[in-house]
Amino acid sequence: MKLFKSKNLLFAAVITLLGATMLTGCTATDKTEPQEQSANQGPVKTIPHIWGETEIQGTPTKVITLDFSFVDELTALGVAPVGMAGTGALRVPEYLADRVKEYTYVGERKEPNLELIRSANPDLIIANPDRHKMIKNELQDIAPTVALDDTSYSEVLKNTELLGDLLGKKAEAEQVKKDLEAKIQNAKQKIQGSPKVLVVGAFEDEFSVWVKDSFIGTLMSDVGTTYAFTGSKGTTSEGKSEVAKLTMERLAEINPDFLFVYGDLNLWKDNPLFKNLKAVKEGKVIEVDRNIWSRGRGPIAASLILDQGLPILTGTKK
Amino acid sequence: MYTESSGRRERSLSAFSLSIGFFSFLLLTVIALSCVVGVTGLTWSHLPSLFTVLSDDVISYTVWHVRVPRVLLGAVLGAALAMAGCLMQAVTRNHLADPEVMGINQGASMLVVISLMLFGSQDITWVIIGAAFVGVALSGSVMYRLAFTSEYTPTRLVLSGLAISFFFGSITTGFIVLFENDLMEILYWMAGKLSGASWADLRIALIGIIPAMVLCVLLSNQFNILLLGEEMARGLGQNVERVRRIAAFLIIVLVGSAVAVAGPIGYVGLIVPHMARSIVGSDYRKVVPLAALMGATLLVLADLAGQWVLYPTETPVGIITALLGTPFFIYLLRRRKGRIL
Repeated sequence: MKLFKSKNLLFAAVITLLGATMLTGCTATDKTEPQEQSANQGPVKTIPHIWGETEIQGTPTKVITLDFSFVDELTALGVAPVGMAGTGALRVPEYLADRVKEYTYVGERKEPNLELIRSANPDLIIANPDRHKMIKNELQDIAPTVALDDTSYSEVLKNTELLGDLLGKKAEAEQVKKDLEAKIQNAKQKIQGSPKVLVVGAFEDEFSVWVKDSFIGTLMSDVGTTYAFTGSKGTTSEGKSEVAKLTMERLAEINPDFLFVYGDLNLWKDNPLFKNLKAVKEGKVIEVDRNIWSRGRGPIAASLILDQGLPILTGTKK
Repeated sequence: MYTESSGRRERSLSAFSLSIGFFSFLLLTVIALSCVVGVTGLTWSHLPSLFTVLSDDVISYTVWHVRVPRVLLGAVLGAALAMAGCLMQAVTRNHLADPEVMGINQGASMLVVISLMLFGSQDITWVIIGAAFVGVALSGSVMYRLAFTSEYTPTRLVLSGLAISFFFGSITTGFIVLFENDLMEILYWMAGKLSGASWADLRIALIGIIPAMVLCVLLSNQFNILLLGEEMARGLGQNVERVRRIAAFLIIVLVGSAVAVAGPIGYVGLIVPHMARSIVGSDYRKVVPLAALMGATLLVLADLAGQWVLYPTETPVGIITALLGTPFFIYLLRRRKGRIL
């Protein structure tokens, strides 16, 4: 009985502690004024973004990114972030690993370590408007913060332009945009008859499918294919959900012309429904790198996806 | 006096056979519908050929290897979870007991997530099945200790069950937050799903569930005695501890098998026993079989709904049952307001 009493006490203590943490989180300073960064001199720019407007003085040099697409955009502009957030074992997207080497790891992108961010002494933080909504004020307290949506491919391109403008890399940003748009135009001309395509992850019992509004979905639509999954999943607390679940039966109903697959394709190779898919019969199922096709996001990822996908979509390579 | 009670018995007996008949019919209809509705290219003319030789064509594969195992698994698990709910409510003498409410499902989820972190590179199917079963046994024993080694009132038992499920839940969430990339897929499993069910899953589930169900029906009169209260049951010569232990073991086998193949599906065990009791009264000899039948029907229906609500996206069946179960739980709490649970 005594044991239970003390257990109950412990439980009560834990609850109180949790409550207290939440309270302090709520009452944290409402200061939206960014701290003065004395190192930077120069004209003050006002940057409009999802969370409102942020005034930035001079050209930031120490940038911290809190999501993967921003690393891609900065790398494309030739700017190395001083710090970045990742998730689990993944810190830098694999396809960027050889171009981004020195940085401070500031923790999980869902809940980045504010102390580490502060100690890196950044003069610009790039945040995800959904994922970092809860720590908006804290981030703005550390350094000027801009929140950029990175769901679709056109948003990513817009972000690149904005960052180029902000970081004094206007020419680079224009070049990145021009190159990518040229690539897309080229692809558009070569791809005939808007084939139905789908990008899915093959897993144990069903498939993960990227929705039409996702990065890969919009990119595929823009090069003139018909992205075949039109269902959506609505929004979650994590932000916009871009992946839905699809059973083999539904995949067979959609029956795309081209199927780009990451994950474990072997799980499905002997499934009669899978073998009956149009794409399988015509040899148009292509295994792709999950790090680029599923997790990649940004101008560099888009370019890599097009490089890999175009020869297949135009039939010049099987 | 005598005639009155025998008259009541007759009435509830006929209510019992009527409802058994009705729900058997309903279950069979729902099963039949779930097996064929919406199968691409299936027309009436195909129906006879479905029952002839096992052909290689896609339609009969869809029916026999995609739909049938899924529907049967749904029915079996629905029955198992409903029976487990009956058992839990009898043993704890608590009308709010359910694997979801008492933290048993969360214990299973926690162990699965931890095991995936440790052994994720191996054959995931077996890691999940093993870990889920062990998790159910673990959290089941914790609840058993809580329920019977201290003098808990039913209300406090539910509260401690909730506390434990929060505890397990927060550990699970913690792991998922820290290892998002590797554990993303498990979120879907944690919602409780029947998609992708195969004959192998059904076989695994049946190994434990069939004997546990038979035992449960055979012992149902013991639960009637147990429900009279511990002292009364002892007075009637029942070995209360033994019956409780057997019941706890049966609960672990039933829930463990269900969680192992389909993930945690909540609230079937909460809703169904109440519905069964409202039809046939509190005699467990009638409640248990009827609850099994109703549980099977409910889960098959819920899964059918899950396939079409957000078509073509799959909604895990556990979400559908939670949508039904949570309001029901609150309704039960409100109805019993003022009374000690």
